[in-house]
Amino acid sequence: MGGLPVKRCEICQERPATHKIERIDEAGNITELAICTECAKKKGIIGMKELKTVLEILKELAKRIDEEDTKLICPNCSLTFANFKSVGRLGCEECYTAFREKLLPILKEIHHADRHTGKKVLPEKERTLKELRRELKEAIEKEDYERAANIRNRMKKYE
Amino acid sequence: MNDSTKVGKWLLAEGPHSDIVISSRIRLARNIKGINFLTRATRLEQERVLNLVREALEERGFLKDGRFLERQELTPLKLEFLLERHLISFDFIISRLHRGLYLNRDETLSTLINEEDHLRLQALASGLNLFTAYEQIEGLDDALGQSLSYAYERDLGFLTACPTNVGTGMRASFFIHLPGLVFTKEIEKLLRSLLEMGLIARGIYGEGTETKGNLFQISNQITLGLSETEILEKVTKIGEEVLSYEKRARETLMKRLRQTIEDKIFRSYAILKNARLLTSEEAINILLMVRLGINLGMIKDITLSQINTLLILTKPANLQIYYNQEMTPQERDEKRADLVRSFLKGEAVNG
Repeated sequence: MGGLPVKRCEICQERPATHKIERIDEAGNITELAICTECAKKKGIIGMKELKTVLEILKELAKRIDEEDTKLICPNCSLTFANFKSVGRLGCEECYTAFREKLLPILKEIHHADRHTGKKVLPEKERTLKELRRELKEAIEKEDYERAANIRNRMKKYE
Repeated sequence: MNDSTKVGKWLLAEGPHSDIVISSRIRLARNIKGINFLTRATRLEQERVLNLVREALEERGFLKDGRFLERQELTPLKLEFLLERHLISFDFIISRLHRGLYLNRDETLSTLINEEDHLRLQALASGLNLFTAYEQIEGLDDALGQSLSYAYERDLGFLTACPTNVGTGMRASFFIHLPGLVFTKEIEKLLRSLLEMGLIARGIYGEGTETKGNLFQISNQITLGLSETEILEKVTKIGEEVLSYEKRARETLMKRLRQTIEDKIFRSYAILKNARLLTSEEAINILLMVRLGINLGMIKDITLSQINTLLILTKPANLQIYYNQEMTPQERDEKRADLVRSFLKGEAVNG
């Protein structure tokens, strides 16, 4: 048993407290609260604090261009990473692959995350099928059976 | 062009909290797979994007209730007119790229083609109503996404020219009137705490907090790692909080400075009803002051919808298109005052 006794977070009573915050109640009394990083983030107390405006992040990028950046080139649109840093815009979707390693830390700085969790786009095949199903339904409703047969043939290629 | 005497449906002060929140806006950034982003796109690629989007809109029936315009067809005055109505961006006007615009009839749904990204979809709704705006934009996004192949990957979501938009590609924002927080000098504190919560707030007319009329736009900064619903919920929740702070600030003001506030409001009211010359800046200030007067129950013969409409119609390009003539700034000041007076008497066409 070594080291100092770890104080537990006063909010979740679970994780070790890593932050001390001052709280002012309505009567104007200041009390101190020891909390963990997790709870501080949940309360919106920290985590976002270091969040800079987009402009600030992009400006800082432009200041830190090194030689390596000029050699890193997107094979599709031939934009260099140095070029991206100075203008803050990528040249094509392939840039995200070509510059991935260097982009991820930047994305983390901007978004505090580096993985998409929102709306999903189906892969090409599934989308085409979904679309063909819609067209098929339309053709049947209009009693256009010749077209419906054609659509069914097209669907077979994907199934 | 859309009817110049009418304004968008999103200005009708119909949505929730439309007393303080003027409107909500969702914007989605999308690019087409296999075509360079605008920083690298050739003239030919730009044309291809325009054509693909136009065809997709046509195919999906969006042109039945809306129209597709190429930027070259639009005069500088028309461009200014659209900018004043929040339907295009300043960047859209100045760049020489081959650009286009889709606009539905009631101006609640639009798409800029070849702005910073191949597509910038936009939906507007009245009041604090982000979910309604999202529902509308999702319909357009799904439809276009079926016809076009979007640049998308599983890990990073929708790929955008600027990495600040990657992921959902979504910005959810609302326009809010915060005179209470500005007068009580609490606004700085609020803007700072919004930034800490990952939101951006900016004055609509002018830079930073040096705003005319105390109108602000608040939006999410983060587009990656949160789902669309999470972003909408977060921005809505913060909107409701800001709203309650504003209401409290107004109560404080009314307790401490009732007479001063009443005086300011009724002076603005008098100017609005009687002025023979009105500059654009003065119009914004007095319209918003009267708006506050309506909220506080002091003014009863003017509606919020009338104020919202006048805020748009009194802008320089809208005014000229309304009267269908080009005017010097001096002529505009006279016509602006005329328009306001006749509009409030119910003589001008209401939106």
